[in-house]
Amino acid sequence: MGRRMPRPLGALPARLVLGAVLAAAPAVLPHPAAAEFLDHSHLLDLSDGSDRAARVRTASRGGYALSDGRPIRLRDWYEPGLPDLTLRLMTEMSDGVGITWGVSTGETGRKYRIAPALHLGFVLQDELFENALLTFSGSALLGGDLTERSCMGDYGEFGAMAVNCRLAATILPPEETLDYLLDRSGWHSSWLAVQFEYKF
Amino acid sequence: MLQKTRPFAALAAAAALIAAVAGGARAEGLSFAPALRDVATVVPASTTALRLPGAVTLRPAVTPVYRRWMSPEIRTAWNAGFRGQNTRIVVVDDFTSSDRFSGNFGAGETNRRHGYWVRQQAGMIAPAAEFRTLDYYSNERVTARSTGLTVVNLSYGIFGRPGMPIIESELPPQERSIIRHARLGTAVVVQAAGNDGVAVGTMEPGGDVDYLSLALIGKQSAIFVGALDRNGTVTNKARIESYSNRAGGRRAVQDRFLMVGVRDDVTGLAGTSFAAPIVSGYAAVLGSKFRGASATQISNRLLNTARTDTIRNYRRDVHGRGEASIGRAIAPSRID
Repeated sequence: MGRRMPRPLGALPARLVLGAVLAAAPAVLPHPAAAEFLDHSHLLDLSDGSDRAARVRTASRGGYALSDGRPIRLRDWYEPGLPDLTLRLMTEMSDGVGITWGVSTGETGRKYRIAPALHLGFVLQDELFENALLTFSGSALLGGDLTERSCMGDYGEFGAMAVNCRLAATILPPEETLDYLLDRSGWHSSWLAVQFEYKF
Repeated sequence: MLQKTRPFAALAAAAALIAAVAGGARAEGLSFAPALRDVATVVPASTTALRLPGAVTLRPAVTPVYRRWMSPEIRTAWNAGFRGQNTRIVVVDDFTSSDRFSGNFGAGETNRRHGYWVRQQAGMIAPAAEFRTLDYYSNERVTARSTGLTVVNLSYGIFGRPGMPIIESELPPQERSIIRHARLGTAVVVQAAGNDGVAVGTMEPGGDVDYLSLALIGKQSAIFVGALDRNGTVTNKARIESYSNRAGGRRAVQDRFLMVGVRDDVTGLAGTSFAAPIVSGYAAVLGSKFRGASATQISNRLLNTARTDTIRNYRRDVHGRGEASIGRAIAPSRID
């Protein structure tokens, strides 16, 4: 039964991408091993953003006015210097078995941070019958935690207090807005998937 | 002898009713007439007891519905999850007399007593607040919540000839308890400014003065509320209604005088009677956000965040602190 590993970016071998990286660190891997490794590695994903970054974007739309009418634009607090960049690769270990691995740079804005992350995963694939492929894959994220910082809001007669920057002008009591600070572990972005593919 | 009067919308609503009966035309001129005075007699306690045996707690509608007479800001507060919870609004008003007024706050035209209009209006602004209604002839004392904010709405006055000393102990027991709350800052006390077109606390055209207003002047958690012709914006500024009492020259009144739009063109109900419940509702909204705040802090916040840029020809001796803005009251003054 023939097997083949998925190559989402099939035409682009990882050798091209990783060549520069590994060439800069010859001491890390012996050259023959590096070559072997690269021969079996493929670029899976090179992208910006993440589910956690998207969550920040969604939560930080709009703004509000202070009590004297001055506008507050949430975007100013939640725009990253550099976006979260992710590089993921797959290395074929044997026929129908591969590991996926990669890194995310994370991103930081004035009021939040997404930590850098390491991606580790696997792909198992079997051709059940002609033109039918069953793929079982998964990926775990180590690091990549999203945390949001609070603001210090001055409410005049009521004093200054820590408050969720996004919810400071809502009816929620300031102390309760802290319950809604973004706080998501990167681990929650881990996933498992089963895919059946039949070509006809 | 001081006598309780009919509320600050009696003739206004009656005029609207007469106009409606007469052919549907709303008599705006009449709606500016002052409240009736010197005609009220105190309802015997026994009668009151039969008709209103105690404080009535009404279950408010929790789902807020935006109506055209409201400020758009309140809708924003609702969208943010507001329900006015953990606060109490005490409406002291007429719940027993035979006087009924026709109007429509958006749920359909009905004919009811003044107090029920006031209570409905405040309930539409702060739908999750706990409501208590007290007839102003009942002489029942107003009690504050032990925890959470209490707001007392007074859309009426107590009129008498000028010159009497303002002695708290001379007031009826009900008002005495209210003045005490305002003096000690244990409840936000919101009084309709009155419909005589004069300064708060001064003699109205009939020669009487409102002793309830006089007693509230200078009290730490009292607010007087006048009427604007609309909810003002920077580009469409509001004017004071000609019937509305003004802040006047006394600093102590100016400092605690707010205004809100009263859309009698929409509701058929004119008068500062229907300005005060809006501010009472705002206070409840604010109290549900700042749960640990005192009544004095809540009232001061509403006063300090009032807008002057939404009022045409704003003057402190006319408009006091300006137009109440719930949106600004709940927002921080500074954030970083």
